[in-house]
Amino acid sequence: MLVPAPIEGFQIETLDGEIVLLHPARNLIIHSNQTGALIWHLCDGIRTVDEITELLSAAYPDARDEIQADVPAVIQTLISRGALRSK
Amino acid sequence: MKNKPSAKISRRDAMKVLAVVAGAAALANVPDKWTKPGLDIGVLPAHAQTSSGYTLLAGASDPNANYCFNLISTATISPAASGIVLRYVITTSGTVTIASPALSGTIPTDISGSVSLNITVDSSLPFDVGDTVTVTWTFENASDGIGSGIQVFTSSGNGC
Amino acid sequence: MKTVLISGQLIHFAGGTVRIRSDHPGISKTLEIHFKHCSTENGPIVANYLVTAVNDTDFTVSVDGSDLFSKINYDKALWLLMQDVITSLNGLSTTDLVFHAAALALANSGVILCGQSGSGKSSLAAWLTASGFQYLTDEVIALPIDGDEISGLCRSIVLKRGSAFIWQHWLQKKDVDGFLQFNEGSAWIEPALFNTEAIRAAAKPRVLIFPRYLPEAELHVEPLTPADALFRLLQCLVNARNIPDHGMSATTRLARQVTAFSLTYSNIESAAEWIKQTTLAG
Repeated sequence: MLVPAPIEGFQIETLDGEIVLLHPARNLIIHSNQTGALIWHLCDGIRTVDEITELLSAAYPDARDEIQADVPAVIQTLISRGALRSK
Repeated sequence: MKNKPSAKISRRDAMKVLAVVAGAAALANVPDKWTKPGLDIGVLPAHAQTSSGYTLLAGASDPNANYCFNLISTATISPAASGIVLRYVITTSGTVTIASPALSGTIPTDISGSVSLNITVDSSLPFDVGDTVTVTWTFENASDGIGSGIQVFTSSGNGC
Repeated sequence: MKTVLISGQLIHFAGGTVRIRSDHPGISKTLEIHFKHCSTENGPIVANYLVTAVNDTDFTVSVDGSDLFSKINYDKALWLLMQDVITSLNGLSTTDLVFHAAALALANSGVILCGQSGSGKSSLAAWLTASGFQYLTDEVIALPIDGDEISGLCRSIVLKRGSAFIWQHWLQKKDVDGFLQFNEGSAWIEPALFNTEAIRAAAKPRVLIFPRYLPEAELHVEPLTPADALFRLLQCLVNARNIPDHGMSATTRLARQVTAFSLTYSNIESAAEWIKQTTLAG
């Protein structure tokens, strides 16, 4: 079961709920809007992708279908870009 | 292995969790409605982009020296900057053989824009008069700069 | 061996200073003209440049006694020197954040045009200067780590061949000292030729624009959130590695201080007019 966790070494700035992540050693900068920021924050190395999806679906019941698709897609992108790893 | 039973969680509790993970005083920043998550990926400039990049200068070749088993090859980039990755390739002529390091590899520049490579020659094989060890330095990422640097060590006798 | 004719010109930017010299009268005069608005304040000398003429067609650029480029022609010597001087001043600064950006000012409002080569920074800077803005730079700005005012490397405006219509539109006379056209068509233009009151040493930034020139595009403006502005600014921060926390907090402060937009355009006149109105409104 996929348990995403952030890669070490990121500097994080939160501005109005959006985040900017900077990983100097990897020359990587990521910007995410508020919903993407929530997904990032929930990737704590403890919650599974299913649990993150479930939690967000509970918070936004009207968007359950979108969330089911959005959460794995965002996490997969962050893994492929070297911002998250799977524990 | 069974999946964990999914415990139903109320919207109110879910929003509380989100407010906590989003950071202190972040409830105002937890959106009321779900919108498509947006991700933008960018890169930090590797160097000042306004130029054609750094210029690479290898250490001076020493055409006529008595070497034993250790050589030190150096290279410097101008202007100085740390973290620019340089690739070295070691080639030899004659009987001299390299014990370490690998014949090709990469080293990032230090804060003074310099790299230094300790080369050990295989002590069981002679570094005969006229044998050469050549170290060619290039930018690992071509966009970092122009040029290459070559440093040649030529043996004029056994310096051991 | 030739004698170096001039004592050298100092160019100060972002806490560092370089000295440039040449033994060739033409090169010396050109450098003097096109760097004349740069600060000459004393600071640690980070590089000593010398352009020597082997003969009338063959030049060498050296830095701190080591040859950087040799057997190059007059035009190339000037270009490579310009590029390397900027790189030296940019990359080594530990006191200021250096962004790849143009900057101008109108009244009390500074405007930053931030973007990669080809985004139209210099073209917009030239047009806005001719339209009444004051000029800080068309290439790099410096923001002190604890400061809130930007300064610019106030070299001449460098217009590529494709932007020749700008000087053709605005300049009455081209046979003047401040105008240098290279064989391949680009030009260095002293900003005072566009506007005699043009030069400005520093300004407090109010408006941040990320321009993108796109042929045939309609003018399109999109407001940016502070986080988006921060994300884009970091991609233009050329000396992040020399700054504590890689310049994240100071860049965040800048992103919060300004109103930020992305601007896509093909018609420079309408883009410049929008920038003017936005700056006046801000």
